[in-house]
Amino acid sequence: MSHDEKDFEMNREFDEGEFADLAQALREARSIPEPGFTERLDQAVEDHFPPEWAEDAALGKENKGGIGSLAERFRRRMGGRRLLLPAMAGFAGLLLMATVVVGAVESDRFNLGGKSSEQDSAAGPNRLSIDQSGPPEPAPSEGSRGTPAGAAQSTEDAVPLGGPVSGRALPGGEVSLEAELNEVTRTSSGSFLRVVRGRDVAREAEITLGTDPAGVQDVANEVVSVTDEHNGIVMNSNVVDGEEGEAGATFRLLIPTRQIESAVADLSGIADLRSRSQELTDITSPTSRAQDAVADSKAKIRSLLGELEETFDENERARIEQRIRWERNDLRMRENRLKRLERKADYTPVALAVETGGDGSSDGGSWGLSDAVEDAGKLLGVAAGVTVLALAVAIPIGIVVLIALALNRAWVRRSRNRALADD
Amino acid sequence: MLEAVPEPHSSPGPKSGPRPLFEDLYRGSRDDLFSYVAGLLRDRVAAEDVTALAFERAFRKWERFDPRRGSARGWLFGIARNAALDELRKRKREVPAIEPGGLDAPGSVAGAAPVEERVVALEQRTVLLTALGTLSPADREMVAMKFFAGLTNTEIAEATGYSPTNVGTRLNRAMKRLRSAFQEMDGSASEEVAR
Repeated sequence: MSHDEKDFEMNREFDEGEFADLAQALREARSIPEPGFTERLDQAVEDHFPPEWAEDAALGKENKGGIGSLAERFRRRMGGRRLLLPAMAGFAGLLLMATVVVGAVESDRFNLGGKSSEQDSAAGPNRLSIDQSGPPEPAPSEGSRGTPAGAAQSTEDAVPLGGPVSGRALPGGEVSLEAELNEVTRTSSGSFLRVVRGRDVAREAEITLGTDPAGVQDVANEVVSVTDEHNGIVMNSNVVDGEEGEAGATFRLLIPTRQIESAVADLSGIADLRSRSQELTDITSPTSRAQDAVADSKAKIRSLLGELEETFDENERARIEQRIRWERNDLRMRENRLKRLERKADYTPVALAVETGGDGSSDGGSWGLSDAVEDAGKLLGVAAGVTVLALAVAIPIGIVVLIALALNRAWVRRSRNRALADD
Repeated sequence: MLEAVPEPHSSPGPKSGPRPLFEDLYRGSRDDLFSYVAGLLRDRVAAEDVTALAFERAFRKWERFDPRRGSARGWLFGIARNAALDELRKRKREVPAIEPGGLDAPGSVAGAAPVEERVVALEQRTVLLTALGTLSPADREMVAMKFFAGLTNTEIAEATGYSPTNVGTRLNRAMKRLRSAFQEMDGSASEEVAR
């Protein structure tokens, strides 16, 4: 028997059977909607339930805030503007993505402009390296010329967070520079001199400049001139003429440490800056030990001289004088060592190279097609990373949301059944 | 008014498509749906809200309606049932024993019958609705769907999720309880009148 046949039988049972009177009475007792309500509802259907229909129809007075669920009331409140929601969400997503990409690009992990950072592989314990690539930012300099002075103005600004800092055991070196590095990264202004105040620091700097072959000699002259201006010394120099790629120059300079920052800035501004790095080595401990050793030697000599004054035995005097000579030799060696250390702290060796051809010289260091391709690759990599990260976050959240929705659905169904059971 | 609803073919955009079917469904179900909800909730104002909400939800979901899975009326009453049960859950307050304004509803006891007959009919109707109010919501729902809304057992099954056989059983049981309650109350009322 089909459902329709069953229905027919059932209806006949109600119409003609034991419940006929009751069924008829119930049909007659059914409530009919008031004309005012049906008119408002007809209008709402005709208008396809516009956002304001519930308010216009004066519905939801009982529930305070309108009929339906929170989402339905929100949808009505949003009205025609709800199309803006996905647009706004999309815009926010794009903004977030752009922020992340730009943030990553701005960080030291990505050096846009096609100039890759050359990390100093020699950096070791108690050594702090600062690499700076690309053209320096123009800034007021101590020098007479208005040189670009990215390093002079604020070298620490170039210190990358978690950048190339590693340890190398210096002879007798005990104190790590990590604390100073931390101070460097925390400090927002000032210079390395300020950061390493109270400690003896030996520095080394390397600068690579780019120019065309015709300009090598001018650059070399300028290097010497700048070195003189900063009371530095040209330890050696080598200038080679020739074609692009062959022509160039190398210099080993000694610059007074007090002027190193401005000197490096001035030297960097002579031609196109291709790379620049500074390396700091903490020599406080060896200097301190050398000073102690010198003081010990002097004390020993004074003591031996005192013994000598009080000794009248010739053999004994000869023995003491011999010891004094040894101690004086030791003192001279120790003083030399101390001087070397002090000179290391007072003067900074700078290795400067002038190159022609190759990276950046032909186009004057400007940003080119290969750089664009490289940067695009990096950007795509970052975008892919962000996408993977977003998925890694979104998938578990989505699973949790799905579970929550399923639980909510089950709970609603159960409480509806309970609403039927209770009264 | 409803007759002025434009035909779907002349109404472009999202308003086209299933409109005529939905409007047919609306026309054929409006009063039945209200009667069912009012019978279940026994509150005319809440019944208006729930009826309107049910039609709005049905309108929004109309494109998701699949005729192969059941009749449109069964689907619509399923939506209305969920809304009514949500209202029941939400209210938590004690519902009045007799539907407010129910006796004064248009068409309650109409016609040109003599006054005495009308009074008797009104009394009987009051007793019947009071007896209905003593039933559990589950029984009341069955009675309301069957006799107030005029649904077939199959449509009730589609709306409630029960099997049609189960619907018949539940309906029969509900009617027996209603008859029992009605006879008990009608007897008491007659005795009072006799006294």
